Amino acid sequence: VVRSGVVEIISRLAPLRHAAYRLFAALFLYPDDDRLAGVLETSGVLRRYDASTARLAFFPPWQRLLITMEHLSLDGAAKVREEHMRLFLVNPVVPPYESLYTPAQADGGGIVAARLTREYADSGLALAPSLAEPPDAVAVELEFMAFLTEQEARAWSHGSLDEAVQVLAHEQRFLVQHLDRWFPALARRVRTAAPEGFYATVAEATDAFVRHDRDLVDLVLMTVRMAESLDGRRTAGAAG
Amino acid sequence: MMDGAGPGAPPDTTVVLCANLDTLGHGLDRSEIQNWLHASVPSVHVRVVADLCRRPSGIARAVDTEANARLVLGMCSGNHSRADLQPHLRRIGADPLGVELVNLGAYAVRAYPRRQATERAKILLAGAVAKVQAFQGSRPENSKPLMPAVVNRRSLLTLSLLEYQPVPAIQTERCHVDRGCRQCVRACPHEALLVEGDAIRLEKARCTTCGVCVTACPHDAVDLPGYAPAQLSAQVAALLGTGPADRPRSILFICRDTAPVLERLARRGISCPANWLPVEVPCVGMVPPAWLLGCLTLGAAAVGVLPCVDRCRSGGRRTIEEGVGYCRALLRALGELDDRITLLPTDEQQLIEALPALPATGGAVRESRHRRTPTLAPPFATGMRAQVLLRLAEEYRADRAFAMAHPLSPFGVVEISRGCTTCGACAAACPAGALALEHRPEDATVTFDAALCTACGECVPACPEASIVLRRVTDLACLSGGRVALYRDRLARCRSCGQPIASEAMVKRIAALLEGQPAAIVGLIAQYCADCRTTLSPSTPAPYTDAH
Repeated sequence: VVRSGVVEIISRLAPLRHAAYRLFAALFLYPDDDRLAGVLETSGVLRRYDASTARLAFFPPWQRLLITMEHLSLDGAAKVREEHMRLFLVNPVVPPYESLYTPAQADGGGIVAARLTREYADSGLALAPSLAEPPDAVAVELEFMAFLTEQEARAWSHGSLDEAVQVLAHEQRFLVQHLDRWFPALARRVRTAAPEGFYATVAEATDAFVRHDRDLVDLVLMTVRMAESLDGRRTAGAAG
Repeated sequence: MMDGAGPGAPPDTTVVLCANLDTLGHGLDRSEIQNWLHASVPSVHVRVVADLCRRPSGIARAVDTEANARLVLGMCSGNHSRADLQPHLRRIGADPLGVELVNLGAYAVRAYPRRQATERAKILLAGAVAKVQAFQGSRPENSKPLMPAVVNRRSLLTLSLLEYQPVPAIQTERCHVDRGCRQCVRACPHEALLVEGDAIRLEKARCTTCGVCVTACPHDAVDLPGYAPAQLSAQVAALLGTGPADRPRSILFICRDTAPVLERLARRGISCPANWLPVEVPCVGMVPPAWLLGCLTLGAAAVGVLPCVDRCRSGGRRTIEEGVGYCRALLRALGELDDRITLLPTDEQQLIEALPALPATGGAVRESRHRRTPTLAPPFATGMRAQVLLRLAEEYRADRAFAMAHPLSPFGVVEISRGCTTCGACAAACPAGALALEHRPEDATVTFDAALCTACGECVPACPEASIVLRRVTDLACLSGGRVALYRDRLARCRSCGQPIASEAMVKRIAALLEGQPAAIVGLIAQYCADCRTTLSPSTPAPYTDAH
């Protein structure tokens, strides 16, 4: 009963998590006209699911972000581009790369990028040359989580619990080793550098979402494993 | 919703009452409560929602949407689903971890006649309003998702997926982990706090929100929404200070897990006397002696503590027994009746007898001590521990030389017996900042502020000369004496440049350790600073080179 309940819950959440990761990934890339239009359209769609997302703790900053995007004017779009350039691109105040948030003695720049490239390759992925972002860019890491959550959603839809749990374990590993480890520091820097800006809202929502996702994945895996060990004991008891 | 009255005014707060309270038990006078709250408690709006406890969606219609809305919900019972309630709170812009739910069913309506129930409800709501107005907001780190206790068809259809409980988060800007403080890590009964590099990390899966880490931190760096010292201080002050000063009031700290037991007893009409006001905490183990005494300084006639009736998961029972034991010993030493602080039994049968037997009014001594105008600002903050004690001593006209040794005293006095070299190891080890090493042009001094000392004992093993003695004593003269010099020593100066080398005692100690080494080496170390040792003429022996 526990297991089926957990499965039902987490399988319903996977598509939402996938959409959220895609949205956040896109938001950290340069907001040219096409990308911005796509992001605004997606956020409009996601807004319709407020009644469901309100059930999750990251809802307040998430809602603030969607409302901010809903009210983004043409003039506002120009300001967003300017802010993106200043924060993340030209002589960036907040470089959005994991290597720069990792203690120097452990990395030195290339190790994180190399690890990530291998990680992506193990999942059958390679960076598109047109993207012009290194593997440790925040947008790339968020996009990779979007990929994993999509795999997970697919596994759920095929009714393959074992495969879904495997993907969840991969998500947990990636969050622990990468995003959840350094994104909070990036978010803090964005909020300090431009507290009233558009990207403060983006960073706040992403931060709340990533932290929540880490907790959620931990919880689900723990619950599934507990249920499995309970099932195992029951089976052993019945056999005995 | 309108804005507050102006700068410094308490934030606007909405009190939402379940309409069913009218018909529950002996009922209560809802309109009297509404009028009284409007008139007596600043910045409060009162709304009534039909069937609030079963249909929390009604909140959205009763409360205008506004970011940071402060909410107090007056409920019929504690049996509501957080997973059902929290989404509605989020949608109206309220932080679910900052909303206060008052179980008026158990604590007012069911066990008291209508008149008393109405009076209790007023005071309990005023306490809850003060608590939410002191809420400083929560962060994503403060939420821990939980699977709903029961996953049924309804929860799936309504997508009642998860519920959240508050967990502590460390305020990195206040935390002293980088200076070696580990008080929260050691205090956590569940080993949920871990040191990772220069930060403390919470293992949420292990955390039970007992709150012990909140009061273990000597720097108020642990943040637990709903149970922050400032919030609980405000609540207790309002419970004791709001409304007519008709009779003494007492405070009953209740373990959160015991609340359902009290509700069950209330349904049978069993409760404490009407002047005892409940304050729910996640575990009574988080309540330090300074809070128990702090309630007395705020005007409580007495203070009770009710631990878990079931087996305590956090070991809070033993901690609070020790705390109560210390407080009672202190009250006796001050010439007071020690039953002003009471520990209630955990056995349910014994509790049935003990709850109604709590003293409705105090004896002559308590009446004379009873105060209604709290003059001490939030007494639950860690930095207020000594002030609480001094205030209490003042009320009892205690001699300034009053001192009470007690094996569990949360206050300590550090003494330096002999052999100190002012190396500063004790100051570096002291998590509370009570010990410090101060350098002046002529000397180095180890100083001590007893008001900050938590008697943790970290300094004792840290001293390489075994010179530190910690006395577990509550000593008024020391507590009020401010920072004092414990040991002072002149600085030895470099013969070459005149810069300080170390204290004279330290130089002597090093010379003693180097006994048997060539005199030139000892002389060099004892008379020259580190810079000059390396730049002296080549003819000077260079004890640290390979050639030597």
